[in-house]
Amino acid sequence: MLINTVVLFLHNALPIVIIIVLLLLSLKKAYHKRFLKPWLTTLFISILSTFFLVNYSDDIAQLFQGMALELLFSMVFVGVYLLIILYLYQIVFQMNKQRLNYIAMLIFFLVFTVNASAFFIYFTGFWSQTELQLPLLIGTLLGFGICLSIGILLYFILLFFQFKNQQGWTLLLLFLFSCGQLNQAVNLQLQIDFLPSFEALWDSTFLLNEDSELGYFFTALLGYEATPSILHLGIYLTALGIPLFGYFYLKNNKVVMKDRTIK
Amino acid sequence: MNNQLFTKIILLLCLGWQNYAWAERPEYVLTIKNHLFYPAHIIIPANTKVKFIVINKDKTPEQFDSFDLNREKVIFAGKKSTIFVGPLSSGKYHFSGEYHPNTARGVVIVKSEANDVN
Repeated sequence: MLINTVVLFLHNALPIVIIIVLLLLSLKKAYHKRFLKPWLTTLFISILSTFFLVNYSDDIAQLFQGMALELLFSMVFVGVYLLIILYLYQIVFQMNKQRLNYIAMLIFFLVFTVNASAFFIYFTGFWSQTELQLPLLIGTLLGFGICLSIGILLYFILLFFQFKNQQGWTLLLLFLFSCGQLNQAVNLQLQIDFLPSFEALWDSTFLLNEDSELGYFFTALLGYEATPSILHLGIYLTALGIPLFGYFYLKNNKVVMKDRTIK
Repeated sequence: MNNQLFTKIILLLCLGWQNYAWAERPEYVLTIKNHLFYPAHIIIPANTKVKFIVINKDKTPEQFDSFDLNREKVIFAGKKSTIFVGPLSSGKYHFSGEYHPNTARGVVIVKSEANDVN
């Protein structure tokens, strides 16, 4: 139970840690003291909505022939993708502090609620068994420590690149993270038969197993799939291509927004 | 006129989609009891999408998890859930209960008529 708790914590908390690091670094220039209160409110609402989802997820799961959670979560993942693209466009073309912070708050809220609720469904499901409480707590603390270490390491690696005037790495990872979210939405849609399934194009498990610590990290960061189908690949490439096309189109046509300066 | 044609196309696409999404699939019932899967081995036909109805008879939730099948779904205590799998080529695909990976384990055996899997 102890090891299982650590693994499940890592699995669910890594996306939250990664998005916090990426938002922290990309928001550095746009953050101001006046946003502290909205950020704390967002954190509070995220925790509340997580507990709401944990409490009612078993009832929600029974709706729409048992497909409601997949439908809800896949909509959230698509929403996160769209919000991150909007956020990146804001950074590149129109640095508006307030808008950037509000979009970032929404992204954090969605990523936190979906992933934290997945872990707490497990946690609360076993908390009633007294003999399991200690391993659950220790496992959670160990998982938290590992996630914190990974987060700090990622933060300082990306900060190092920022000092070398290479902020592009942070934005690129944020972009790839968003495409990974779309991949998760595809998996959920496949699970409820809303999308057609295809044979896997390749199997890269021998290189990087999805069911490993590094696999969890790359799945959370880039949406890594060891056995992707043509549908995964097509959607991932489309998710990469359309915003890139938009970026180059806007850049070449100099459709730069009016308020380029930081407000 | 153009609007009408557009509406018709959208309606046809929706009907086609609904027909695809809710088409009849072969069903298999999988029960979780005492943190074990019953049956632990399920034989399904190759190249066919099938529907697993997973019933959790335990008092704790369980997560149906399979990297081979690329599926992950929480089955709440005393509830049942649906998971679609496939179409798959012949072979063995492992699954487990992520909350009890040491006990809750099983295999989906995919068999084609011509090529049986031992």
